[in-house]
Amino acid sequence: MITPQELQRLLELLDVTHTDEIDCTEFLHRVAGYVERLEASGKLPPGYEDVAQHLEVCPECNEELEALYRALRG
Amino acid sequence: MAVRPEPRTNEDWILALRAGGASATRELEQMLERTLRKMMRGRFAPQDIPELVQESLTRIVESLEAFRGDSTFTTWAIAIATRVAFTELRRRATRSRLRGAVEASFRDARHSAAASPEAAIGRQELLAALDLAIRERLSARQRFAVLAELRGVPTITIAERLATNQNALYKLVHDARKKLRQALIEAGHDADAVRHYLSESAR
Repeated sequence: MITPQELQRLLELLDVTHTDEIDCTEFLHRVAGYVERLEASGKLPPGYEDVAQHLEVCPECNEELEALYRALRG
Repeated sequence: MAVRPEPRTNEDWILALRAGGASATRELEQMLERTLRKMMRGRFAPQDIPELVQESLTRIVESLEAFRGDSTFTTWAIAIATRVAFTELRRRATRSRLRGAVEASFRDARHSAAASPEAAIGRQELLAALDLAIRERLSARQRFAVLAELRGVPTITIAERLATNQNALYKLVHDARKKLRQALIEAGHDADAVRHYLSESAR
């Protein structure tokens, strides 16, 4: 049985779904550049919009990004 | 007075690791060990860390061709080690506490095809349309993958259950989301309607 909460969460995902998206492997190879530029400028680095979009639909990559941030900040 | 060696450049790292250089490998191993011990404190026992480091080293060396030089090499290497550690953590979570969610998703995905649209009666129109689209537009594999992800089942576990890999799984779920979005548009709920519903329900 699909719960209303699950349907609601799915709707949120559909709202941020793009026709073309990068997958988790592509994200992995670009996240280091994304993090370093974001740390340096404090804003979304140009050319990394697809990385930011992936973060909206992938909780696992979000979790890894948070851990990476913490590791780099020491 | 001892002279501290210059830090390696990205090119130094790549050349040394490609050549199997012992000094670069040892330096990377020590850096990963320090990082993972700190990052995974409380999540892994200390004795598990060396195995994660070795697995990370293997993955890094295997993936050298994928390094594009748009960051420092060590940040990229830590990102890969982070993926290795969290993937192992998620495997363990499935073995212990998420097995029920996997089985429920598998069961629901099979039964959804036979369920009647009347099951959605009482839900708001948009949610009912989505419920119907899940039943009618998605394959059983897509239904299982979408439901399991919504229930927090790790993608590594879903991929293994479907006998596929994580990239193919991402495509399967992405295609499912696109199908569902199209089905909602055809039912009269375009992107603006979805956004309006979400903003209303957030109040």
